[in-house]
Amino acid sequence: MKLRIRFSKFGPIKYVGHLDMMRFFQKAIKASGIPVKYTEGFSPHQVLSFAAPLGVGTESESEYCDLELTESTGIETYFEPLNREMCDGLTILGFYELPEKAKNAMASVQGASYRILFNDEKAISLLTDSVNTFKSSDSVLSYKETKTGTKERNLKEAVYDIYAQDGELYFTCDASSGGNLKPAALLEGLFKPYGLSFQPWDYHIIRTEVFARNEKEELVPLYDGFKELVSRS
Amino acid sequence: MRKLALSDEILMQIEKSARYIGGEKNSVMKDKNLIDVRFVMCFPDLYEIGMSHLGIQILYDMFNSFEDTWCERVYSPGMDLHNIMKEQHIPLFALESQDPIRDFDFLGITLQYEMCYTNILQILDLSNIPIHANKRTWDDPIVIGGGPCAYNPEPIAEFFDLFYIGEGETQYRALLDLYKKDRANNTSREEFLLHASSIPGIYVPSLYEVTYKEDGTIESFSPKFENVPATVRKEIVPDLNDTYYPLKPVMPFIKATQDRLVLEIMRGCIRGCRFCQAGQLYRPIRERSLETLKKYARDLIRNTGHEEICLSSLSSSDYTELQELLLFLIDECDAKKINISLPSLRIDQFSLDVMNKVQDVKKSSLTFAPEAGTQRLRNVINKGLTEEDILNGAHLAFEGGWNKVKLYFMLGLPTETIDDIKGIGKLCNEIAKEYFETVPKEKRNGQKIQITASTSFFIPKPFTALQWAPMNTEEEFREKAYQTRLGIMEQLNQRSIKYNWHDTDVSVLEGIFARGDRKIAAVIEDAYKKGCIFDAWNETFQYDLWKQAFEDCNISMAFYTTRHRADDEVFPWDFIDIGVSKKFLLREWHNALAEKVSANCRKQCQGCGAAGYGVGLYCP
Repeated sequence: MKLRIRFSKFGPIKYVGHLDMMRFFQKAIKASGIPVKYTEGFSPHQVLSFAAPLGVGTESESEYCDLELTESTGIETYFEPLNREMCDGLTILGFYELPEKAKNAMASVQGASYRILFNDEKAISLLTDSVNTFKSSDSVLSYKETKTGTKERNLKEAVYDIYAQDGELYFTCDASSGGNLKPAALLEGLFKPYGLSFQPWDYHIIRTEVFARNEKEELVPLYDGFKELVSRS
Repeated sequence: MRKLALSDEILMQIEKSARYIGGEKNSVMKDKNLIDVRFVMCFPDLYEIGMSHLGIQILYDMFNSFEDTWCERVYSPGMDLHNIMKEQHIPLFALESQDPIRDFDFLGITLQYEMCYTNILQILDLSNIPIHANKRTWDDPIVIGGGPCAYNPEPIAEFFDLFYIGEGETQYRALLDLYKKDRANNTSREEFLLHASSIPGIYVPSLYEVTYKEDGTIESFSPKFENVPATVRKEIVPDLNDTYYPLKPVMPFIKATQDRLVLEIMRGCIRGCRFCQAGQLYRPIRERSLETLKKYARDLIRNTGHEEICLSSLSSSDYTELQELLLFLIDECDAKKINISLPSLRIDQFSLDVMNKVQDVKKSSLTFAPEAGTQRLRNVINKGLTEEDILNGAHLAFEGGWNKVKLYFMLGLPTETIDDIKGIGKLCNEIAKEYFETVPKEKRNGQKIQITASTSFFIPKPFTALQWAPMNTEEEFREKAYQTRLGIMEQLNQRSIKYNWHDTDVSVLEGIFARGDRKIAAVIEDAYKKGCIFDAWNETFQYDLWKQAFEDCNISMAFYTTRHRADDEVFPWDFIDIGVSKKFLLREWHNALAEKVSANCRKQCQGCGAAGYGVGLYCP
């Protein structure tokens, strides 16, 4: 069977990058005893897939990885053992059973929501205003330097929902493989009219959820619609 | 949640910030208010290098098993962080508590290679600890060095309060107890160091005086006080089945250079190659039992979830129960989907069978270390491997489907002639010929034989039979590498042979540090101040600055490298007793010059002296 694992990542471990997280999980999964499926050959490896890479320095309330298993019963009994293999800051939140034909985590990702905390007083004071300006504009253009030249993108099309509350910014945006929007690009679009620009350490990003689209084309959390085997209450 | 020593601003700017956050799985947190001794263990190189080292993991495990002690880790910050710390006056910190190094009771530095010496100064400098031991007070930790380079500690002696000579598992407890007692009694730092000198294996450099002859060699080396021992005897673990072993090793977040489980199967080596320092330092030979290793392997696999395991020893083929061990591992690892990374084994039918089982023949290669191009020169260095052994092994392997061979040689060995150098090409050619004769054209499947010959430059090391040997000059080294290449190009099968060689300048410095005396410390300090750091890394090694430092300190490089040493010269490291006698080494030096081979420990005891420990597997 296929298993989807939901976990959160907070604290210093946010500095552990995506590839190192994958290596960490491979070891943790092995040590937990989960009956994971391996590829054939001289260097067998786990059939493991992470949903959406999380940037170095970003925390998350909800991350996902998928795992192919050789058994399908009693998988929930590995929930606590896997949690014990985690480091400070990593918590396994839930196990979900996927049907065999389900798309893997990475292919399913269509959106993500973020919460941004600012260290800069000026940014906080301008936040509500900038969000209102963003909402009332027809288009907010963002430019990205690529190998083939400068690429233009309308941020309004990539941002599905956005609001400010208590000096923090909340938004949901495109996170699909073809159109992933980086939080930094949105911040640039929001504050450029005010002449503000940021370094990566001027704010703090928390990813709050990763989304797929259901049959009705609505954004739903990646665990939605799958059988929950066990979860942290 | 742990608070980090570095701000988000810094951590977001530097490379691989996960090096500096600690908190890895199996790292140990303790309440600092409930412990008596804070020890920080340092490997003076980057995190990913240091985290690959078994020795620190062993000592980390041991120290943290003491209830009154908390052992943490620190590594060299990368140059990006180094510059930020210097600029912003951020003190170097330990990974676990993130507390400044200067707050610790002990700073232990492992000395695994000579080219880390400027990094030791970096660690002290960034920690705000005076780099000269005689300037330190009780506000500074006791700085103690250990590891293979501690067997000639003299070039770095003035930077250390203490050195631990030998295997760390035996005397640290006594040292910590002494420290606790002396601190409780308000003993002075000097008194404490004096007391420490009576602990076996502990060398206190400040308690010895060196005088030099007019020619620069040592006239005398003696203790300043009556109750300080004249020699320091190496410590060893008598029984490898009854000691510390890290069954829950710290698991690095970023990929370590050696990202695998390590099973140390034995210490010591029966072979007695005359250039090899480790072969003498770790005598006498002691093995871990098969039962112990089986248990360790099972526990390690369970505790870590590692995907690969390897064996560690100086010569795994000589482990008496190697077949049983490998068969066990193959079974166990196959079931648990773990890769076995094989050590370089002597090539015979058994090792080929094993290799066939655990690796892809098409991708893996055979490794031979003939070290010299002719039998004559191999006799000089007492390398038992013959051309016949190599060709027989290669023949078997070619029949089994292998077609990649790696060969390791040294250039600059004593008595070497142009024939020995040309012999390297000839031997490679013979192996290629063996391939073409063994594997008929229709069975080659379009594959070619690939032979890779690598040469390094011979560096005489303390406590070897060749410690008396002069080292070649840079020009000689370069010429010899060139001649090796020509010799290979002359061969019929030259197109099957690839040749790699090492840089000459790093070898020269390594040669100086290896056999250096106390006068070298000034050069190391000067070089660090000029900007030398991470000398083991090609991209940061600055030979011009080093040469300038030697010149400015008025120290001759040739005195340490190319100079001929008399049989009765007093060496800077003579006060250390590794169990192997200087008399034996001198006899071996003369045997080398006479091209006389000595039998290995298993065949016949050569009376090296290590039998004095009373625990050697083959000792009488």
